[in-house]
Amino acid sequence: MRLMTLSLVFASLLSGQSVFQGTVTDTDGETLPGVQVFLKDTYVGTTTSMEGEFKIALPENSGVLVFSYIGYETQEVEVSSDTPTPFSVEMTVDVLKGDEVLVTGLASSVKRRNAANAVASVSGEELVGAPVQTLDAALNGKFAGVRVRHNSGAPGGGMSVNLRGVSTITGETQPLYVIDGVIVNNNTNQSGIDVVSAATGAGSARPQGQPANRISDFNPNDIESVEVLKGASAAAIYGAKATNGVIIITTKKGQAGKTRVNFSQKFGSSTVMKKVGTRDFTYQEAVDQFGASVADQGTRSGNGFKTYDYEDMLYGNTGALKETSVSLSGGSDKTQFYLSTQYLDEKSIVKNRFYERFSGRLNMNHRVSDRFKIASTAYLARTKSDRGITGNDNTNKSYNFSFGFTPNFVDIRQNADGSWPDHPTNPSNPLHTVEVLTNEETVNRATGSVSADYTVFRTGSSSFSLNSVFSGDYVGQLNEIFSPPELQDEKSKDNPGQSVLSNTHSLNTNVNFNGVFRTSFGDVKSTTTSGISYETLDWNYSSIMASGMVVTQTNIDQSASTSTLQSRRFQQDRGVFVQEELQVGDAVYVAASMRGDKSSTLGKTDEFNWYPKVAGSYQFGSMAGVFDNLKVRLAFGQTGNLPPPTAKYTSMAPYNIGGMGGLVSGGVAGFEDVEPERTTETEFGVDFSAFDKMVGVEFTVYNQNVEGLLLQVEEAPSTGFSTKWANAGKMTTDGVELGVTLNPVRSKSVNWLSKTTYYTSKAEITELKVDPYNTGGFATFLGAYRIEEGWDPHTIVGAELDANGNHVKLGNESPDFMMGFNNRVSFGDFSVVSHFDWKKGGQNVNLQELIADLGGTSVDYDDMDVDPDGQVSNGAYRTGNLGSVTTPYVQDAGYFRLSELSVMYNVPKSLMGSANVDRVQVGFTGRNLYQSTPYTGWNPDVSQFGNVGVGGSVDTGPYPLAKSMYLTLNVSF
Amino acid sequence: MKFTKYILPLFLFAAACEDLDFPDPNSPSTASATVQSLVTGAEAGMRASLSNYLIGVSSVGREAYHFEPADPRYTGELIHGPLDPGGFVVYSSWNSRYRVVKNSRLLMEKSDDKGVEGFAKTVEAYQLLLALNMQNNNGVKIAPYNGLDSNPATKAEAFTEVAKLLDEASTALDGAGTAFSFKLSSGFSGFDTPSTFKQFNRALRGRVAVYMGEWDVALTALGQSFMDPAASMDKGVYHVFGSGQGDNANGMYENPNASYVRTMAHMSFKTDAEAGDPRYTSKVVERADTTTYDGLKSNLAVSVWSGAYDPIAVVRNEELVLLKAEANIGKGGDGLTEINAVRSAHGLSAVSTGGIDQLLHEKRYSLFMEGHRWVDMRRYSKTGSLPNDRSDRGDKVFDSFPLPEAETKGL
Repeated sequence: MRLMTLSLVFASLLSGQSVFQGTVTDTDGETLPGVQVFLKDTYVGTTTSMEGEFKIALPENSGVLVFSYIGYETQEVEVSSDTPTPFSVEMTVDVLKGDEVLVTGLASSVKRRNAANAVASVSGEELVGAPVQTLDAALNGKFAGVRVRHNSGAPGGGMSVNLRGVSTITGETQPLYVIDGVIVNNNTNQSGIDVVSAATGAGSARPQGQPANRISDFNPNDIESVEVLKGASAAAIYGAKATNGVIIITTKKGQAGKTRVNFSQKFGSSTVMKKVGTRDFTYQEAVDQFGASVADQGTRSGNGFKTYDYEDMLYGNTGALKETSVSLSGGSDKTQFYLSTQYLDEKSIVKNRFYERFSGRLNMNHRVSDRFKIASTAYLARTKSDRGITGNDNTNKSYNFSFGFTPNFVDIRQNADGSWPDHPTNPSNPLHTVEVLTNEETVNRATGSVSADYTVFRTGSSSFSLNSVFSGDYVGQLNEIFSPPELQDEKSKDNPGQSVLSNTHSLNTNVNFNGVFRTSFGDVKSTTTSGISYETLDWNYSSIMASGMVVTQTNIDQSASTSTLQSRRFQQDRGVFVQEELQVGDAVYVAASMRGDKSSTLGKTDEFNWYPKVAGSYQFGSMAGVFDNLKVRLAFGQTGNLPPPTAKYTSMAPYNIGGMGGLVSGGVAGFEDVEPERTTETEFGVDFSAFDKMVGVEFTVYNQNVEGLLLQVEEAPSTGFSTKWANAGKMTTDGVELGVTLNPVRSKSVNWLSKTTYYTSKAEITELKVDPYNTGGFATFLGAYRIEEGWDPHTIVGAELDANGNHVKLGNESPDFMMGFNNRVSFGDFSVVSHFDWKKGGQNVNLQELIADLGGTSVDYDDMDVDPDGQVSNGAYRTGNLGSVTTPYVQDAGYFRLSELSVMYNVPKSLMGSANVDRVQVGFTGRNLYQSTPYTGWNPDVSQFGNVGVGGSVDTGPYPLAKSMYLTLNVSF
Repeated sequence: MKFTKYILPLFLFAAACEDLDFPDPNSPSTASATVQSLVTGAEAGMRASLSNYLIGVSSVGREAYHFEPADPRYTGELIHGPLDPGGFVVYSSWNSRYRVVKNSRLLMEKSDDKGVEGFAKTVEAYQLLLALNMQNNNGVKIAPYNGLDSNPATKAEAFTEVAKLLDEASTALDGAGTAFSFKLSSGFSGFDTPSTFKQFNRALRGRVAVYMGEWDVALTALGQSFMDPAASMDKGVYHVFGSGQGDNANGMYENPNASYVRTMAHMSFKTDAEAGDPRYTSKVVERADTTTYDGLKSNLAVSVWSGAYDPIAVVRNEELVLLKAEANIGKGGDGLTEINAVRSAHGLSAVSTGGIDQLLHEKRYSLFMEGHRWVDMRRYSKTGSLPNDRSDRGDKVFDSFPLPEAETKGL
């Protein structure tokens, strides 16, 4: 093997005819470094140097060289012994990304101009224009049809990513993340804070801790590009796990040539984006609300009191932000590497809360021969965060509950001697809690893959290659929560103090084998792909909850009592697929595929579930002197959503007494024949570019039908079960997506690129085999979601019934539409990027307002604009009608937000003198700098229940969102 | 070459990987549960949602308010309604009771042992009785527990079923030999053999007969129970608690001197108390500060239980003696002998007038927070005389909880 390769190299060195060299420039004559130059359909290739020069040795003395560079149109140049050497190649900017290569199969790709689906994609540079803590946060606003929700503003994230609305009521809602061909773990693992807040019990099926998605462990700066397969018609090849769409991430790879170093340093600060305010009391109002004994604790000032800004004391911290990134890349013709490391240290808007991530990546590519190449990726990360205690709480300990119960005239600040006063109107003092309660999360993550491509044969018009990928993805997560015994609410317990220690170990493995057969006959090019995949998950969660802590000890054995919990999850999935793609000339592209999946989570584990796809596009080319290109596309496909692994089991739960172990019905009746939910999607689109690529439009309409909707439906509890699993409904979703790209100014000195996205989707339950029911939220009168035939499952109902006793629709959590406005202007050495997000409509159930109402402290408590009769104050009306009137708490949660702003300046080479650097860039960047919203809570994006399909939009006081500003320095040499 | 040498074996490896069909890695199945684990589970499960039950019936019966800052339903739904058939106030105790019933049914499927039958049917009857106490006029579900396929039994049918189960259990216990084949917790200390367990069974039967107005049946049953005016008033069967693995704490206990106490006695418990009644002074702590929540006020912290692992009575001697008084009053007597026996046990002077009002007063103070007040007042159509503190809100005392929503509609 090695000998053969060496002799090949010698051979090519000896024959001077086969070496070609030249320079690559853009249309302005500027040289382009990093352009990939390959002999067509082979692995023989190189990259241009910093000066845009390349030199390539070909095995024969003629061939077709392919020049490709992200953001530029791909060029093919035929070379032969007649070609002058050196020669020059000019590349054109690909404003509308028609030449971008999209992943359409598990082992094949297509150019965007041919794609039959609206596949959204962005480059890494666009993705992290402004610094961003986590990968999922970076996706925000970049794609039409992709909604990224900040369930919580807590350090380290807690994001929900929804593609084309929701396709499930109870199942997995998050897209499949595929990084470099490997499915990665995006689990959410509970921290155990629910136990301390008593929001839910340990191991609840409906946790409320708003945990971070583990995709957040990845360093967004390592990303070369992201593609989003939004619906079943594009994602069918991923089969049973693809109903929520697929996010395909490609990380950066090294390029042959000089070793390039990129260094980036960012410093910044974060502050709370929005405050909710609190009620000001007159003395009499304070007496009426809390009694004279509390009112008299305040210091009188005029009619009212001297006041304290507790919202500022809780959330008014200025968090210091630091991010240092270094990457090296380079290599030889045969071996390339990309090595990066990043340290991120972000303090938060709440004192003592933080997020830290230290990560490293090494990607290697090696060409063994012109028929065989291997690649490996390795990523290690350690993250640590303290997320504090926010959101729902049955102990009045979280910052937000305590804040709601703290009138601004009582003084709960730390005493001069260092002790903390007891709170007169709440069981705990939040300032003390911020100071001493810790909720730390440490994650160790190791992800790696090895892949090999082998070309079995290659003739003039045909080739056959094999490809295999092996990967493993390990997450070790440690959560340590300590609620010290000196806290006011702990002191009142028999066993004061709590320590919760949770460990999660999770290992995913993937094995894929694919074969690709390419052939052409006449004008027709055919690509046939087939393969198998094998995936496993072994997830093991254990938690120890200790109470009665011995003074300041946090170790769980230093306690009076402990309880424990363990939960395991094994999953084994197998898939097979075959796909055929036909390209006829430049105009017609047709693809069809079939995927079969088996999974251990299904009732029938020995049968394949089949997911087909058919798609095509037709390009009309330039027309009428207006259109540069006009394409219509139509795609149809099916995907599945696997049931939770527990759905097929009917199990007993441990109930112990007096040291003896007992069992009681677990309350959930399993469904031993459980089937996957199946989504059928039809997508139609028209894309065109016009006026010499000044205008690009992508318009898509789609319809999704979900069958076998998996519901955990109520069972008559007298049977011993309170719920049971059933495939018991159908749902349909219709949506429209529009992307408009404008390039109105395109000159040598000034370039303005504007992208506007618009999308909307509407769901409806079309069949329900059970009686309509309410789900989500806490109780119907506190706002719940109605699952009823003919209704949008996102409909919010409450206590209000009409004359016939039917629920009245009070709102809907889905936005009317979402829009994104992205503008990039560069002039000379300056570039300005701004991104605005607009969410129109969509309601939340604002229970933080209820919390404040119950505490008598809501900011509009004394206003008079809620009672329809105009008789009583807002606070009195809302609490007085609690149980019969829910409407006031269902509130418009739309917003218009400046999500990203960056101003960068490229220091001209002339100013750098003789310094041996290629590029120095300085800039200011900011996130969430401005927001306009009618919503009165901290965060209109909130989801108390995390990544649920339906019923997330319930606000029990999440961690507020922060706005952040950075100064950035980037140096490349 | 390379294909057959390296790639093909990998295909074979993948194809040979383990089976996709395996049992639940987290929990045992119904089939694998043993008699002992079901008995222990039933005993432990009887404590589940017990505090929801006691807070629910005590709030409606105006023995106490539960001032839960994080949840307004305790002072909303329970005090002025409407009771939400889909809310936890209505369903949580119900669900827990029927999960225990499920254990009883599984026990009888798994074993022909008479002792097992005696235990299982007694437990089933007790669980149904608690559900019936709450749902009252709306009835409850009884065997065969096939969900929505059967309508709820009426109140009268349900009482008949409970009485029948207790009687069948009693018969089974008579034939169960001298010892059980399973172990019970310390809550059954003194009642853990078939013959002593039967005394517990008869105590429950006495309570049920009084509720049904069958005075002679009640007196017979009480006579076979452990009722003894001369014994400790606390003698009886208890739910016990512990800090062990998977065990529970007493959910009713709160430190009465904590900075904030949620369950606070109704102020009428103070105003209606006899001077020097130790049943008042030992069961509440008068706090210096008055808690105001949702328009309700109290400074009486409940102190019936003295620690987080204090047991809660299932049935105890004090109730049985008063049940006997009630049966005697029902038969036309004055119940004075038993009433004064209880008063004497607490160091109170004898009263000279008996009758139902005096009996209800004694039961209120003797069995405070143990789940009896509302049931007793209701049986004598006196719920109208329980206090409503927020007349402007339309507070009212309910006679029945609705059936949980899931019992009346679903798949």
